[in-house]
Amino acid sequence: SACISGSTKKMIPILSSSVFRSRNFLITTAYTAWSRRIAASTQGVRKPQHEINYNVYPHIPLREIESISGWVPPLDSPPPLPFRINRSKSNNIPVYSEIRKGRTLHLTIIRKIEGDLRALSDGLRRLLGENTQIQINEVSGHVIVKGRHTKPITKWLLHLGF
Amino acid sequence: MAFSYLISHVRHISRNVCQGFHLPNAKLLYNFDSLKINKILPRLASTKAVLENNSTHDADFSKDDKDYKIYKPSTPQAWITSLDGEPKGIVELDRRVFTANPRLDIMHRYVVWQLAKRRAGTAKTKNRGEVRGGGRKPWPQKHTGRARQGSIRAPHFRGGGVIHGPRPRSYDFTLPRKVRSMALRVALSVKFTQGDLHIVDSLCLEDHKTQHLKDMLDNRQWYSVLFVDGNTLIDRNLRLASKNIPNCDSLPSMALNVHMMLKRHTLVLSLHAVKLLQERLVKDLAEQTWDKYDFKMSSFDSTWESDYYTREVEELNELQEL
Repeated sequence: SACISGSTKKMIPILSSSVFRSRNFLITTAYTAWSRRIAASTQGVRKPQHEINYNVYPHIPLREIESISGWVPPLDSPPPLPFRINRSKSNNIPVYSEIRKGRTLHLTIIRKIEGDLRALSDGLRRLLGENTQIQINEVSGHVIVKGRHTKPITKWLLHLGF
Repeated sequence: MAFSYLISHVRHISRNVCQGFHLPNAKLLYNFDSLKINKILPRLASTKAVLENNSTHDADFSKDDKDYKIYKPSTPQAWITSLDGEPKGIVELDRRVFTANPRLDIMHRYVVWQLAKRRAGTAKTKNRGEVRGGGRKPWPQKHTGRARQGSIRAPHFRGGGVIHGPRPRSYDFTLPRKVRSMALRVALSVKFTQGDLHIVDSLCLEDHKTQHLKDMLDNRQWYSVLFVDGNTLIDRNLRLASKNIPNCDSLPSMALNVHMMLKRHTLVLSLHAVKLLQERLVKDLAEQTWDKYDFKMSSFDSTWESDYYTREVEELNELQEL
């Protein structure tokens, strides 16, 4: 069914039996457009893939990920940074996405961090944008980022050599 | 309630917890002639070393890089002494086991599980069916002017049965294996960083006299001790001597638990126990990619190192005989 705007609707002769149905249709179209506009403004806008610059630390050369799957083993010596991220038991980068609050709140959690968590969060801000909301848990060694940033973060950490 | 009891036993967890009281400099190992080692406990020795060397308890952040410091984890070290207090050497510990993050919530979960699974669960009350009597209708249904009643032992009656009272049940539940091992790692780290962990070369006593052990404990000012030795066996003399001393327990390393570790002030591990615990508690963790751990110890006299290994062989023979 075509989306009819309000102005053209007035020109079409409206029968009494279809008034109720058409009124509903008008209301539903207007409601969805309004909600979409609100959602677009409040949601954290993710940096599009082509805008992400993985060269956050210029003194560390980023290594290429040559494999097709996107998995590379960690380097023999860790990169010279104030933090360190160990691999999981299945030898992968420990970055996970979490969805809460009835599928409305998307989070990214980085686990298994040793060292300075604030330095890691500064690096993440440089990667993902200055306004990203990041939370640190020193006791458990977690960093929680608002929004779904698993792929950029894993790629960045693989480039660094963790 | 249990959590406040935990906190009262876990004192002084500072921000630099993970680094702990260990010797920061390898050079110190050979300067011990100047220190009065027999009278100084490991914790004091390390602080004195700190003052002499003007070094801090923070992790070793090197200042070579222009903009960024580098994270270099330092391996925790501990003195090995004899039971009397004579220093015999130094051992390097696994930092994943002895400098884990202070997760009090995980320790709390373990203690709650421990105390729950040991409950007898024998509380029981009688319900209206089990209370003696009450089978007959006390008065007719109608025309008495009173409320209608069916039985004299109904719950709203005096002497009646209990509604939903306690029944004999088990309070046991299975705490995940990984949570259990993490809780033990956290507890060991807490003891180590607070200076309540002492490593002894061997916990084999010469005789089973209680008084001798009590005198030794008084000399070292250990009024609340937990001895941990071996795998499933403790030295017979130690077991007999420590049985009657209040606030003194001995356990094999397989029976190590957080409740006992928090209840007793000092924790005394034998070298054998340290080795076994480190192997066992690391199985749940992912393999280390960098700075892998090797069991290293350096002894001041080389004679007793051989004794340590022979004891291990003796224990294995004992187990085979059983």
